[in-house]
Amino acid sequence: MREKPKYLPPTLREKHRYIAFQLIGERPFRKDEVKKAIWEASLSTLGVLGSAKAKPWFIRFDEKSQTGIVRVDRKHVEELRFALTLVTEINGSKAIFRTLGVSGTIKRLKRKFLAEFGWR
Amino acid sequence: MSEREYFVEMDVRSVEAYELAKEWFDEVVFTKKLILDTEPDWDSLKEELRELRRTYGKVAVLLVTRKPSLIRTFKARNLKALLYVQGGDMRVNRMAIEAKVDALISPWLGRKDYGFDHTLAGMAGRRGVAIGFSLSPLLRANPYERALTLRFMAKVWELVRKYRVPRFITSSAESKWEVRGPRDLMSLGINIGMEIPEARASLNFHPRSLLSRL
Repeated sequence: MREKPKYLPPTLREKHRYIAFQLIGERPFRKDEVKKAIWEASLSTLGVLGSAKAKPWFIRFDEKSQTGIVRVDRKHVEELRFALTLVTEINGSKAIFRTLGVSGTIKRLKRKFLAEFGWR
Repeated sequence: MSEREYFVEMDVRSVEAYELAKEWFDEVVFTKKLILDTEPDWDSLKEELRELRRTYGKVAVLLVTRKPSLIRTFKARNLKALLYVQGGDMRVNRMAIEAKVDALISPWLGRKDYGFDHTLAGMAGRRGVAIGFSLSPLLRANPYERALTLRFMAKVWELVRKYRVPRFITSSAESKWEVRGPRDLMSLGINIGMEIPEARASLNFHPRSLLSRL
């Protein structure tokens, strides 16, 4: 028997948006630090309940070009974006999250915003 | 006392928690937690349950297991107590609903997804298996896990509402410090997307219809 629940029918599925971001910092950051920073930013600005509603989810981070993708509920895109703007430092070194754009699919997101950073 | 303000706590797992909950709720069900992977000694279990029934009135058995087949054997025995199953494992979740236990508590516990889907919800609705939303895992979790758990609860609630599954909110208190008042438990329900009357019904109407099976 399958260990996962079935995929939900389309109306009950979670509707996501994907945000592409670029990280500008004093030093290059590792994937784990970024993941932790996103969650901390979300939990501190939106709180536990807000994060539960916004459903932030770290998708991918390219350490070479310092760009990445984070997933969020479609109604709470602006809230997560604001939470990311409030980040000033990661692990003691200064950092700025710059959001490049929002899209409904990872494929289009890469094509539109991340192609110039060498994403395929 | 009006009918509307009659609250039932479905799941309290220790004596001191029971005594505190008894002050705040009109009816409290004492839960005997059994962590099992093999069959228990039925005679001593029955004796113990009889003893508990004499002191507490309403008694439930919470089965925490990794073996789905054990749920069937428990259901087949006439224990004169409500049978709850602790969710978490997908096969346990499914078997609990197939075996028509009284309630499945927190199917998302310890998982990275909600452990519940539209087929299970439909089946639970038809068979009258209740879903228990319990508070105590939230109290023990760190903020990250809290956010995840709340998110899963909100999704399961959406399914539960759509397929009209019986449901209840409970504190699942293991100790005195995890007991919360009825109005506070309602606020948990409201924050995962219930309307206020729905939150009240899941502490009042649904638990009582479950209790009427005893």
